[in-house]
Amino acid sequence: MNKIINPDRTTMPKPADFEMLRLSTPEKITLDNGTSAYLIHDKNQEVTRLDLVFDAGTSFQDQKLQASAVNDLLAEGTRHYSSFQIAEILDFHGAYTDYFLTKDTAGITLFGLTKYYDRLLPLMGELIMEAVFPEEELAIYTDRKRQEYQVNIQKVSFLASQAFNKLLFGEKSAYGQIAEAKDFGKLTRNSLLDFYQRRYRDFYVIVSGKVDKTVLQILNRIMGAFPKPTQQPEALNRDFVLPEAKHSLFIEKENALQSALRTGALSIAHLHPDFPGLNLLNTVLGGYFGSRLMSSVREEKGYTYGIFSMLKNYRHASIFGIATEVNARHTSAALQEIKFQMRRLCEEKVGEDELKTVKNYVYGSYLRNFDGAFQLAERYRNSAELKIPFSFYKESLEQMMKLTPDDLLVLAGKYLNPDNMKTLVVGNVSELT
Amino acid sequence: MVSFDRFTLHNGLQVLVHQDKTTPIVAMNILYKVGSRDESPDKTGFAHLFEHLMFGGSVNIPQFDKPLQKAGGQNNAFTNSDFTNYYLTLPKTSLEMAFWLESDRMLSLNFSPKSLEVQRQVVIEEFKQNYLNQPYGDVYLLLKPLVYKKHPYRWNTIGKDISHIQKATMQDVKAFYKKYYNPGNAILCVAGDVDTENIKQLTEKWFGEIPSGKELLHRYPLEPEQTEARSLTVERDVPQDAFYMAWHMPKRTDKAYYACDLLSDVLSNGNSSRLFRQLVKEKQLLSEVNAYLSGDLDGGMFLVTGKLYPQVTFDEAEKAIMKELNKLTIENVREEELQKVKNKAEAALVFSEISVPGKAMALCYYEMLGDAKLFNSEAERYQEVQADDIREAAAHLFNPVKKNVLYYKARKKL
Repeated sequence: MNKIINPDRTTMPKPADFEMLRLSTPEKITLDNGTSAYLIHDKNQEVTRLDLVFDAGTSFQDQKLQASAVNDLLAEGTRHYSSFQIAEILDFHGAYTDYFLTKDTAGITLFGLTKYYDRLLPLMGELIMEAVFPEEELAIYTDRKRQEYQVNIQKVSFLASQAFNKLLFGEKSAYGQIAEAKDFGKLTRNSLLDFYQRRYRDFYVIVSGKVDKTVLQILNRIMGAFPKPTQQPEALNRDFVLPEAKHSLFIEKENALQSALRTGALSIAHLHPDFPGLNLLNTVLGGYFGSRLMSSVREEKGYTYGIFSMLKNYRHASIFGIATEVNARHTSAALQEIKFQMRRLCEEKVGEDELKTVKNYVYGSYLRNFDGAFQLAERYRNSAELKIPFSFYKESLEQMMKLTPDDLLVLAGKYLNPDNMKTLVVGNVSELT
Repeated sequence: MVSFDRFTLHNGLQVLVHQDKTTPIVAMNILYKVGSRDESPDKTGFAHLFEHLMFGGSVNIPQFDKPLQKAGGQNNAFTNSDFTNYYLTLPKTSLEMAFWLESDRMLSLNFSPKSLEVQRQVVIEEFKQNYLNQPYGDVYLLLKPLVYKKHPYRWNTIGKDISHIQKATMQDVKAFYKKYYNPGNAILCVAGDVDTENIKQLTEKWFGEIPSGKELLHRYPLEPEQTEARSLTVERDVPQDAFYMAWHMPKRTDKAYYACDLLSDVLSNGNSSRLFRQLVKEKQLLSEVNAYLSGDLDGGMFLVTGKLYPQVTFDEAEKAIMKELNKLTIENVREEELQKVKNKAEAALVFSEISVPGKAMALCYYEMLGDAKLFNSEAERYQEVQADDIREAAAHLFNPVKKNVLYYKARKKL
């Protein structure tokens, strides 16, 4: 006979204290040419991830699309290999590459079985030192990207993200620039080569997963052999942010069934003393599934499939923002609700119980997001991009755990006043009342 | 190699335990063997709508997410044609919370009318956001009824159209729950720094008293053999013409499935693949091309899709595609090319063994296919495929009378 136990289902099993966040700083080594490499070991893996990171994000470009085209075309032909040969080598070894680009940095992430790194690393060396950007590849690339762009501008969410970027940073600024259809035709091979030669000389490396002796030897042989630039690239004199006076923007998209909404403002940097508190407030408002915005706009009212808020940091600026796509009929109501929820945070203290939930949720998400070598590599790359110490994450988490409802009320008044936010709607705006 | 223990409760719940001592996170995955193929033709989209309702409160827990978030956890779910999958992760120190939460909603929901009304609206917004308010968003709504005539795969998981979701009643919700959300129709996996004895006790304690429910047969109308090529042409406000070709695949558990999967990789996995080289790079007829398969249990679709450059006609594009496909029905792939796609499959499997929730989900999935051990021997089944098998798979698939094509035309602006 099986014994039937009747558990007490009416009270939640008491969670024990969390285990401490495991956050060891990557081991730093210096290759023969002075290049820094950061190692994150996981002996249980048979796979290795390699990140090659350059200060070559969009804010460094002198022409729109230049940074992305260079990054996207690294594997489309080098001095010794054609585009096809490069693809064959990567595909044959089951490796895949991710070409990443932000406003500040750009680079390549390689995922591959460790046993093939003797073939893969030399190829990566070729990509970052010997790319030639063949004319015909550039032409194909431009055609494809132009088509992709034509599809994207049919989407309210794409139009909203672009316009929001301009609205917050300013169209003329390095961070606010947005490519348009006409920019695709202006790319030239010379301009790509120029950017590549200026921005892809100096880099650092993150190796994570299985990092054995063989991998390290090849790493040094390949990545440690390049001549390091003798001088720093010239300091760029540019405005990262040039805010526009415009407070709100409505963009018509005919027959849209949903409107894309964005609201937000420039915000504070990671190292600002108020950052941990604002981060926590952001979570309360729209940073997780149980957040106030999700509970009210989706779960109470059913206006949307999803709504979230975010705090996004770049090297020279930060933004706070809320994003959603809502039923076109409820556009005004959703906007009002968003403002109402922000104002509530400025006027009423967050309840102890809700605060406890949010703190635990945040702690759990740190445990998840720092679990495993590849995730650590991702986080480390992020801290290096922003030039903040890796220990920041743990310290910031500890500070968040200490905050009280009174602290949050003060911070909300400072940073989440809806009257200080810019607002954007893309959709059937002529129908808006 | 993902090791695991397995046991079954007296009420039929199948349980898998995978130990991974390296992580502070535990994952619990529950797969219910119910998907959109179990719906009746006049109530489509129901399995997915129901998945939303599983978060609307159970008999003792008014809201699923609140306590989980309080314990630092996170969850999500998805529904497809064949099954509905729920997973949550939380710090291992709160392991029992997962049992409390998941067992309560397997025991009984609270069937709140408010939750039904709101989730109905949310799903309608999801329908609009992903299928109607997106360029090319309605492709699968059009393609599936073209490809399937009898089998319930002829409708999409989101539903045939919004009206079906609008019509769902509380009575439907209760009947669906009673029929499908039972321990005998579920597979549970716990993965993380856990030990099997402890999981056994916890599973007995929390899931042991749930009644097993009626046994289900999982029988579906057979899709008749296709004997005539089919096509459908539509016009939409999109920037580019696009086509979607589809053929019927063997069942997921059929040996030929693996040859078909590698065949799709030969065609379009990676920048060295045939269709990408020929159609995008050499001939420059298409700006995008893809070959892939839907791995549905009763036989999914093998798809070849592409977007045309302006000035290129459907006829031109299709001829060029068919030339590549037909070549594969008569000539074997080169040894090196075969090795390449096998290596890619191997690497993809190794990468899928990294995350704890990923492993928990995979073990449940393979258990549904017949045996969780299949996850570990999946690489071998790819290795066994020979060049002849790929050619035969191609010859069998690309039969001209079994072809389905959706021509998706860009409306000319005046």
